[in-house]
Amino acid sequence: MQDGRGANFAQIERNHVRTRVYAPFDWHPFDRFSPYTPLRVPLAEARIAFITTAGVHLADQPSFDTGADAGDPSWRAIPVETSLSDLLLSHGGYDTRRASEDKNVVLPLEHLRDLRDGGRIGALSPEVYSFMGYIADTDRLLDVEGPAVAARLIADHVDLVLLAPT
Amino acid sequence: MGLLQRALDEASLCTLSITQNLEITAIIMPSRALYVGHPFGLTFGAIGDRETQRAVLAAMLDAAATMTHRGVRDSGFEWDRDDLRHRQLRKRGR
Repeated sequence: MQDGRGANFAQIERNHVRTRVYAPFDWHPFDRFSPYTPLRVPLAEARIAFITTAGVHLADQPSFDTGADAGDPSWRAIPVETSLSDLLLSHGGYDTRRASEDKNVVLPLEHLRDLRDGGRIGALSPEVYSFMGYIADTDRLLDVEGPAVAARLIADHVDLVLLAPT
Repeated sequence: MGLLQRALDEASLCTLSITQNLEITAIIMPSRALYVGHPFGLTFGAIGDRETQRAVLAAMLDAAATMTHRGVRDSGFEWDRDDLRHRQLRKRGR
C-alpha cells in the first residue's frame, strides 16, 4: 500500500480546507475502531446496499450544495433500477466530467445488477444512497443524517452495506 | 465516508468501505476498509474499464465476506495510467 508516496494527504487536505474553504475545519479523530458486525449470510443470499459519496443525484432531486463552506451532509435515495444515464453529479472535490462519461467508476450500478442477476449476490436494497463527500462540519452527519440512512437500511433488512468514496 | 460508515457500524450494520487514503482512515478508524489506490473520482477504475470496475467490486465483496477483524486490507489495485493520483494527493489536480 504505497498511498501518498511520502505525502501526508490528511495533513495536506486539512491545511487546504482550513486556508481556502472552512477555517474551523479539523479531522474528527477516534482512538478505536467502530464496531464490527460480521456478515451473517452467504453473499449469494445477502441483500446488499451501496452508498457513494460521489454527489450522485437524479435530475428531479436537488443538487448537492457545492458552495457551502462547511459542506453538505444531505443525501439522496436513488432507485436501484435507475439507468446511469439518468444520474447527475454535483461535487466540488473532484472533476465530475470524467465520471460523467461512465458513472460506473463511482457508482457501479450496472455491475451490481449483473452480480444480482447472475446469482453472485442475493439481492440489492431498493435504493442506493448518495452523499457529497465534502462534509467539513460533521455533527449533522454523525447525529442525524447517518442514523437516518441506517434506519432505512435496517428497515430494508440489508445484510451488507458497501461504501465507496471519491 | 469513514464517518458515515461509523454511524452505520454504531447501528450494528455489517459494512465494508473502500479507502483511497490510509492516513485519513487511520484518523477515522471505521470498522473494515479495503484500500484501492485509484484517483479520486475514479474509485472503481478508468472510464470504460469494465473489467477493473468489476474486479474492484468483487474485491469488496470478498473482503466483506472474509475479513474477520477490523482494519484495512490491501486490494492490490494501484494506478499507473498517469500522474492524476499523484497530483490529487498533493492538491495539484482534481
